[in-house]
Amino acid sequence: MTEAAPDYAAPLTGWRLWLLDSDDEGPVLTSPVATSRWPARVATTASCRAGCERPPAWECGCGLYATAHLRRLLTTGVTAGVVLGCAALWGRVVEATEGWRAERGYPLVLFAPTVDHGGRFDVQQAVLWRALVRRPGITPPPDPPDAATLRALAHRYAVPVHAVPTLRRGHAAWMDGPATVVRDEAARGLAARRLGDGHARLRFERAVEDLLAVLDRQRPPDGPPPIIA
Amino acid sequence: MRIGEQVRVVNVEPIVDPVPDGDFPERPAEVRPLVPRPTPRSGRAATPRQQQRIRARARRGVTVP
Repeated sequence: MTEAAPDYAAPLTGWRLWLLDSDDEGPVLTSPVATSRWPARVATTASCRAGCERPPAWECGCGLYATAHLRRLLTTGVTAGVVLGCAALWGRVVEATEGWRAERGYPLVLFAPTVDHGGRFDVQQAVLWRALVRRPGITPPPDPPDAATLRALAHRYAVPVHAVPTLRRGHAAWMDGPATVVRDEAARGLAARRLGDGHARLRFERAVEDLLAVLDRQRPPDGPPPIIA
Repeated sequence: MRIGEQVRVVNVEPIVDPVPDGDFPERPAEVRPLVPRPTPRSGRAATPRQQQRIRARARRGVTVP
């Protein structure tokens, strides 16, 4: 019996968070829940501690998680030491109403909070780490990542990495529109970008720039919300 | 991470591998230079008014490529 015919020929894309860790070769993305690292230049494959044969299983909670909308992630805020990103998901995927659990994944674009707010968000950061990091022995990094660290991260994973200010819970409502455009374009133009289509690359860069502009202004975008196909 | 109620299981097989193969962010692929978009009259013959100007310039000794 052969594998069932594929339902999609392009990867699904969703938003998720990683912790920014480091090893001998430089900065590395790690899962905030499971003790696993996302390898660079290789697809991350889900594994199950409960012993599922091929994660994600329908009855289990295993798999690589990602959400369709940012508001599901920014429930407490995202500060230094955490990386927000849009990830491609493929293989066996359990589709849910507001996200996915996938068998394989790889980041497509990353946003790393770097701005030090002088302790203004220490309380929020503590709440975030309690909510996000469920592994013992993990402590928040003392300093925000510098430009050299982000460059090393970009080179290691071969994906764009953008420095952003601290993302607060209140940002989610008006970041959702530009973030959804980035997510859609990340998947829709992936094949064209990889084949060298300059227009597809520019479309993706413009979507990312629009999101960064909203983050830099720290206020809702001007004008009507974007049309999302 | 809460992703809501499970709906279905899908099998996703991308035609293009989402994992970059030796790409770098500042040079994601071998991108050809963009060809300028053609205008409605690009490549057409000069209009009578343009031909009149060209002849006038030629009479004055101005050469237009």
